[in-house]
Amino acid sequence: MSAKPLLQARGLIKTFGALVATNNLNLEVHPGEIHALIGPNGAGKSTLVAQLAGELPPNSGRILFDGADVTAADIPARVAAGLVRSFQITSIFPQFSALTNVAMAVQARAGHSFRFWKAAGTDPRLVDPAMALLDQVGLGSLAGTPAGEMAYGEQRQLEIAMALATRPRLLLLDEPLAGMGREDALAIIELLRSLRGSYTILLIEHDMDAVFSLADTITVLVYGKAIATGRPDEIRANPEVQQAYLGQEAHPREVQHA
Amino acid sequence: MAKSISPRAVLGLLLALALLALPPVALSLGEPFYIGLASRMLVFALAAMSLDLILGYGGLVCFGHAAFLGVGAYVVGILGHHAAEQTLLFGILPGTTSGWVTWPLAMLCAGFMAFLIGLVSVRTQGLYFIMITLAFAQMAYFFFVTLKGYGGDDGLSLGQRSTFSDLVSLRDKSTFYYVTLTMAVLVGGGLIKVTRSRFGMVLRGIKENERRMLHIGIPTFRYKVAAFTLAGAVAGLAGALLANQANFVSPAMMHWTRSGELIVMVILGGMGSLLGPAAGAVVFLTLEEVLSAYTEHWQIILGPLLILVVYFARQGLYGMLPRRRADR
Repeated sequence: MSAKPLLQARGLIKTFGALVATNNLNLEVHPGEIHALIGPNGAGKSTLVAQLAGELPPNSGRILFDGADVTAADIPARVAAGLVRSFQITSIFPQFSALTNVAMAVQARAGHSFRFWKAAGTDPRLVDPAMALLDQVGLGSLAGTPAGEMAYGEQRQLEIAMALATRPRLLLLDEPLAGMGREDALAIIELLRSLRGSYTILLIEHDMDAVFSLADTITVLVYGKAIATGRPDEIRANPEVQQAYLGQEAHPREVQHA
Repeated sequence: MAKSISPRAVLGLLLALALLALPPVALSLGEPFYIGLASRMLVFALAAMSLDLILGYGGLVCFGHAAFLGVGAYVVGILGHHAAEQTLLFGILPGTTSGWVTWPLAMLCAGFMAFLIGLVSVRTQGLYFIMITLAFAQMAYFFFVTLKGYGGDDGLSLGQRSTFSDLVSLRDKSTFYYVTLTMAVLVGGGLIKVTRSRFGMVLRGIKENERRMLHIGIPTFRYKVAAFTLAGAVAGLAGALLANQANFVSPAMMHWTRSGELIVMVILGGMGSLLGPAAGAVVFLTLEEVLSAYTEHWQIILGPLLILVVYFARQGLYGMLPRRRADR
């Protein structure tokens, strides 16, 4: 890749007691690509996402976003810079309508919220972009439905709409297909495909079909270390990767099949 | 197409008429006592609404709200005291009974105190937040107990009620009632506007899912502190009104049981509705008035009532109202 990386992790280390969750990790995500992060359970994927998003401080190492050091930046500051995550376990505002969920995220991007007087619920500057995003993820008809009453798959779509509403430059998608039926999963995969080019995406996902069909680049994480990075066909052919997966539980065929 | 009148609008209209007609009706019945009682209810309605802003909308269970009420009341009391004695506060400030000065100052002092307490307390969550706000309120309580110059434990009598140039005289019960009503309606209405604004949406979002708020890029801390400050300032205004209503201020106003009563009013009326807690305050004081005629242990009846409300009417009194058509 020629372009300057949008996100860089350099020598990232995170330990919990004797457990090394992130082991001197280096990672580069380039603008415009869909970069998938795969690895067996316990490889440290969630810990890495938490560090990139600003929830966990690394023991050492640096995180650079668009060239700027964000290692010490708090969560809202990273979001403001365009580094936004979604959650493996659905995290929405269950009592708000779908529209209000997204409008909330639009509002977050529209400058400070020390505005005490004008009603937010009817402000076209919030509601209109929110509605457009709901349409984009295919939830337009459910705008008025309380998010807590939506089906699981719809909540996952809503979560992506909320992430998009913050106008991210890099989306950290933490297992967007987790717990989904095949049909719902296909809808999300289509949605992610439609985002290609408009957003840079770091995708953490167990569904190998999805990973190998979506990703431009794949990084394989094992025991907190990136053991390989490359194009999907390179990763598929990599003996080290096969070894890593073969050594683990029951995933050997996942890599080969995909 | 004729616009149908909603049951809510009818209720609201009846309520407005009743509130406006109360003083003349009470006078014609020879029961001026009820004007004072109603004024007191309005004051606590305002205090309960201010608590609801942070408790009901922001999810911040403040167990020290009475401290802000007390500070507001003491601003009026202490400045009135110096005006009566013709002495100086801190050796430099003359006292005054002018409400133009003391009422805004009561809001400012209570708001500033809430700001400082908020800076420390809203970093914590749940039980710790409750404990910290309680601790600060107890500190305020004992601080005023030790102020022997201002009556200490016994409190301080107001020589006269706040004056507003020659515009209105609060000595008249009915006038005081109408001024309190105006304040409660204006400030309460303002709070309702605020809860629907962008700021209000942020508060609701924090209560719903604070972690998510951070991840859509909202630095929640500053909004929580701001809400705490605003709620404290409004409680301070209620305190200034309360001092006038009672012609008296004392540390008992900020005792932790008073903070507990404010929480009861909010829960009884329905958290997160503003109008509900206002009604909760009225019901609470009505129960106190009616039941304490029978027994001084009147809370023995309030307790079971509160349990019933929590179990069967989560939204309190407000939840029993007819719903608006588009309520979400």
